[in-house]
Amino acid sequence: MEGSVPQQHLLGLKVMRLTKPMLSYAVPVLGEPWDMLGTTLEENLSQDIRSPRDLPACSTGETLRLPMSFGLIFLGETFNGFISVHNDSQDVAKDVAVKVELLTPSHRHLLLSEPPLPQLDPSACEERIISHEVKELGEHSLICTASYMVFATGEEMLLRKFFKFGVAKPLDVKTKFMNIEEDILLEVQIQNATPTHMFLDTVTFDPSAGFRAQDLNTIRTNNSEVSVFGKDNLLPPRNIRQHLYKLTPLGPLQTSGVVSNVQVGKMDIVWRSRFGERGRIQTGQLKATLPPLPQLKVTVVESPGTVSLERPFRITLRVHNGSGGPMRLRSVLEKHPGAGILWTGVTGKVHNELPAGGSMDMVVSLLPVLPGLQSFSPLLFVDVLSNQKKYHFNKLGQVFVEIQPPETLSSA
Amino acid sequence: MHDPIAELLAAHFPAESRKTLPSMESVAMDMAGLRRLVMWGARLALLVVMQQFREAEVEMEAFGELVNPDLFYQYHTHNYPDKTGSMVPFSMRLLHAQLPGLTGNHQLSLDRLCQLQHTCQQVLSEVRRGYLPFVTEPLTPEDQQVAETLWLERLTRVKFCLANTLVAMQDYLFAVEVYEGLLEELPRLRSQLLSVMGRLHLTLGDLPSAQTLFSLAEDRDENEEGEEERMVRTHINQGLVNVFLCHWQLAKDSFESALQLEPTNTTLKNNIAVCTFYQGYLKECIRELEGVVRWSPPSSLQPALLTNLTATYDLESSSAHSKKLSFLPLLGQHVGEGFPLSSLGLR
Repeated sequence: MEGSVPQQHLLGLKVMRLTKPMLSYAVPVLGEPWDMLGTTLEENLSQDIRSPRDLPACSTGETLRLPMSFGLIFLGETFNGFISVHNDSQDVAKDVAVKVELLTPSHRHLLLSEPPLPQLDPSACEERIISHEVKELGEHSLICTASYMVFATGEEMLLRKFFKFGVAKPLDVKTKFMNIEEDILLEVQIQNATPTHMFLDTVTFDPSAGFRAQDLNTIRTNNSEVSVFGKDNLLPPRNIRQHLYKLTPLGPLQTSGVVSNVQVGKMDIVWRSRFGERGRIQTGQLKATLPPLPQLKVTVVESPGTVSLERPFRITLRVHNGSGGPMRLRSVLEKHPGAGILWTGVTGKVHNELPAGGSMDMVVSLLPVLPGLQSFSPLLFVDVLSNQKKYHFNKLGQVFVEIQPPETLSSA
Repeated sequence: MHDPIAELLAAHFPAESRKTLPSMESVAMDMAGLRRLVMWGARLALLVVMQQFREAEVEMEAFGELVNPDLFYQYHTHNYPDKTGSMVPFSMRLLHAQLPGLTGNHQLSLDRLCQLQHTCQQVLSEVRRGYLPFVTEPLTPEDQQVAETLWLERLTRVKFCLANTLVAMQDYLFAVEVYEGLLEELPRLRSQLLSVMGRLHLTLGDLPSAQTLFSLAEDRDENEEGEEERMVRTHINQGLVNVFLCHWQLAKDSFESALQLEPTNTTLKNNIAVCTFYQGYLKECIRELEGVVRWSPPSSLQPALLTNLTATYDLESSSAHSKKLSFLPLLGQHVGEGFPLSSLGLR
């Protein structure tokens, strides 16, 4: 990794990226004792330290190799570099000041700036380690400057070298939102955009101030919590992993209508790749769009799960006024042709006034007329106060209708 | 490959005094020339050891998929009246399977190795029934014992080659699975296998799995090796974990503890020097590596050491080239033709 400066300098500047070392690799060629080469091949292999001496047939050794090339660097990783200044000439260099800066697309970082060395003799070499956590994508330039004075002539010299490298994106993050009543379900898809495996150390979601987040990526057994991904925390190249979170707003977010671009929080991902190369990124704030609040909400709060055919039963409905003003509701029990469960009771009844934000409970009787899994018939509410506004509820719930065997009558 | 000595001799000695000795060019590269298939097998193995993968592959191609009729004893009844079966040595079959991977075609290597694995398993089940392929008489109990051991060993060797090919393809997880499968068959090599699996997990970035495997490797049970060997392996594994975590001094301490038990272990000396480098002590690292290389040639003239050393020379000064050249006399004196000169990094 060298720039080229066509000048007669006393000093030389070299930079090497300190990627993690690799394990040595051998090509085991072995024979059998009665082969022509006998045990020569084994003996030859046992001398080579690239092969693990206790497992000659295996190609992965225990000997460490220094990095041979720059490799790839990704956002969130740390650039570690080894910089050396050496005097290749016969003359002495005095007042050697070395400065290293990193020019990123938007910043200039100072990585090394020390007081000048009084002297650098011929064949001498000074080395330093520089480190920088990469926080930007795109082209980065390492600018290394050495200023010194030639002792013999008093001439001031400036040696400058540039090293360029690009920073790529390690992960692709996609989000999907789903609204369930007041809560929001967030699915975060993380894709490994690097060419090597990633070991996901931690993946956490930091909710913003208005939300509480529940991590839905563990399975709770009797006395322990196991990740849904099993023991395997490795993400192979190009693979995707989906994480699920449930977000609950901590206070009323909206009075009515749609609210867009609500900041719900951000992801914090820490990973390790080849031989411990560490990386960490945080996404920007993830934004969700909240749907409008329902003006009138009806839920079934009490209902049997199984009922018997042609035996009436009761359910309790809770009616909640989510609008801004009071409501006076008239309930209309509708009948669908071919319905399996019929309402019984009075229809068209006008209930007491329901204030804004208030709830009331209604007990309704029903009669199942068809067996099997049946849905309740539709229900209509008409708001007398607001110009006969209608609220239709089609899918209130279901019950299972059993056919009871005929009762054995006592002997008459 | 030309023979410079022969050329010199031919140039300086008059034609009459020359004797015709068989030289490389005069031997025909066919069955008549090399007479036995075992010689071919040896030649191909040596080509691979000398890193001449392309030549080996070209010469191996002449044998096809090793199933041609003329490779069987039955074809040469005039020479081998009583023998049946294939004349191809097993090592040659293994080489035939490994070769494509060495020139980049890993998938073909995998296919051939799986085929070979299947064949070994078939032979093994035949042997367990009491018979050898192509032979009508049943085996005696002693012969059956020998045959079973032999074919189990061959099956193991095929599996090791499979794992090596997978590592070359960077499919480390699958390679770990193959090693895991070998744990049962080779209880004596349990620690060694667990250590390799741990190293592969470190390469993937998976520290927890590596540490679990390394601690399993420390268990004593079926291993027949000495306490010292076990301690050395434990220290090396711990050293590699420290390298993973960038704890360079702790890594050095681990490797040095191992070195005290095995003072001539060149791998340990190399690893200590590498840690020194990562701590920022370039000159110290160079001194240590040079010391190791020049300490006891030829055994200390290792390509791995030279590769590391020349990388540090490149960093240390502009006169790296002459320093690298200074190793040539030493190499010329001690190493054979197979030494990868590329490890000197001369451009």
